[in-house]
Amino acid sequence: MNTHSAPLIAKNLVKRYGEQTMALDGVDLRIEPGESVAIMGPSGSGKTTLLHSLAGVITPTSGDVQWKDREMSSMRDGERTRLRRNDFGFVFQSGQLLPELPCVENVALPLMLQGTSRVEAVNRAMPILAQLGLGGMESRRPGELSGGQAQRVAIARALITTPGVVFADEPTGALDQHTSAEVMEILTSSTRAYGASLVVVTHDPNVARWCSRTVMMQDGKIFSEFRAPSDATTQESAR
Amino acid sequence: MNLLHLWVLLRKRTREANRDFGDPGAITGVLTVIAFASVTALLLVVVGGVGAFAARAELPNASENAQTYLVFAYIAAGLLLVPLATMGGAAARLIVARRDERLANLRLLGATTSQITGLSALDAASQSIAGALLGAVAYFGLIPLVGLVPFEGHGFGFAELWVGAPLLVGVVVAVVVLGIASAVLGLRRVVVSPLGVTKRESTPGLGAIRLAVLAVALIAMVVATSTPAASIAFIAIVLVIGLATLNVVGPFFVGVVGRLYVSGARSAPDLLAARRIIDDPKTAWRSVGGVALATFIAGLASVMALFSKASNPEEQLFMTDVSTGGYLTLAIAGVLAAISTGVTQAGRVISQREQYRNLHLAGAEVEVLEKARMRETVVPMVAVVGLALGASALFMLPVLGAGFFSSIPVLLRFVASVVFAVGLVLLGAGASRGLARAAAAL
Repeated sequence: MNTHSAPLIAKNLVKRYGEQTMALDGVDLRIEPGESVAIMGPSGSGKTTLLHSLAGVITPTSGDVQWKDREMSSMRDGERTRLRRNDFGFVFQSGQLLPELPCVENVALPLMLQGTSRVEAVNRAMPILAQLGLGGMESRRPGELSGGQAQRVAIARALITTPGVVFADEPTGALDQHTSAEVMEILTSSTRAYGASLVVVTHDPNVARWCSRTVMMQDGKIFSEFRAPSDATTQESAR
Repeated sequence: MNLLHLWVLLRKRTREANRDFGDPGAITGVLTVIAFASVTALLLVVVGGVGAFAARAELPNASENAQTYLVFAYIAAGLLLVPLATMGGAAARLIVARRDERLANLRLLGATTSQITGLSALDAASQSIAGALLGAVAYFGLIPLVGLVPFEGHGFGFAELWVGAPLLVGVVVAVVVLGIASAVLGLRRVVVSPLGVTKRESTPGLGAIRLAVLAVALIAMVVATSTPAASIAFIAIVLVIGLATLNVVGPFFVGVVGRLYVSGARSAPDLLAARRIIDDPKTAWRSVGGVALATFIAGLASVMALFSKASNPEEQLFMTDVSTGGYLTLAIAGVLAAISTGVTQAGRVISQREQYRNLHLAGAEVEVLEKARMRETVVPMVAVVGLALGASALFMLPVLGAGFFSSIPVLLRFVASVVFAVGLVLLGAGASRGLARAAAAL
């Protein structure tokens, strides 16, 4: 059971940069435990700003994000950093793995940052790598992996702390279509298996289709949302 | 738009971006200029010092030790040339640290090789010229201070330490050429593969051939010890062999230290620091190699006290002056080591800024990242001081015997000198703290 499971609730989020730029203009969003949500929209619509606000990376100008009955705006910077370390996982488009660490240590690093010993952290990282099809690659460095393999390592790293929510910002942006589908299949199935919610920022409808719900953004607002007609299992059999 | 206009436009926009967005990269420009200024100023001081001793040796009333003073001045200058060149290289690397991505983008847009080369040369020239000119001005400020240090009973006047206009211009030009050449020579990756993602495959270990160098040095030392120990030329050979060996063996030694460190690493900061040392032992050595030299020099300077039982006042004055010269060389080496460490660290932070930011975004405390960064310097430094101590002992014991270790005042002086050098280097490493925090900022 995922002890970090809880709803993530955004209320009337507003984020202003300078005098004129309104990145978020009154956004309400509720993400249930175990749900997968895609945030789509054109460039400049506020997708990444919304993701960063939900993850406690930035504080909104007004409005709030609630996690486990606490409002993130009331947290100090150190508390939000701890939150990101203990309760959330992150998958970026690129540049997230440390090139000097072998894969198993990249995956183990979040646990070590929590204070877990290296031996225990590595022992916990090995089976996750095997589950994601990377058994035997533990000692390889990120530069020796393909793009898809590197993203699987990133997913393993995001999941090792058993997070409540995994945030993915354009996780397949640097991959070809076939590899993108593989990565999304692993991302959605593994987050589901770990009982974590998934929030994916993407401009690609083929990526959004893997999530159970899609919200569409424009000019800092959510203007529509819809639920996927089928879940990932159905998509897999259709392929 | 011609190349110069394009360069001016890019510089202007970069300054605006730095001002508007607090780009930490703005600091690198300042650090680069400081590094080139330091190289220029200290090189001029060293050359001026040698010239001053040479001039005194040619005076009609020169003392009988004047030529010996000159030889020691050459030895000190030789010892300092390596860290001077190392820091010049570090400054040049800092110029290129941030520019590859921008130049690669220009290349993808269709800029030709000659345009990229020209822009890079203009960038390097502007910073190295600014640094070299600032260094020349600083040299004028340093002359009165250096002149206060007495040799043969009195300090040096301005005219004695002044290198002359032609040499001043020559040094300034040499520093500028160094900066431009380094920037242009480092362009190959941008020109050949602008889309290239840095592929960090397993780092090939530094060859154990470097240990063979040490073996050769030891053999040379054995041969040299057959020469009567009183010969100045013998001491010079000992020093040159020692210094050359340190610089060749150093990176290999640091790599071994990194591997030992990683096998015992338990915490995140230790693991990160150890892996970074293993990933790039040459840069790790460059960060702390100056301390090795300073420790070596500290050993020499302290050891002079063993010969302080002079039989007459002239001999006493000579030995005191040799010791003074040793400590002056140590002070310059310590300052060079500190600036070199600061510049190298700044370059590392800039090249790793995306990782810093992503780690902090994923929940790593900035303090943890800072601990890793400092351990990346401190661990090799402690090991390197040990190596330099060993090298000092290895090369000095056949000459001086165990008397070095039995004299408490000598040992205390030695320890104080090493602490001074280490403290300066830690100061240099800590100078990048603000840059690292800014790089991690979300």
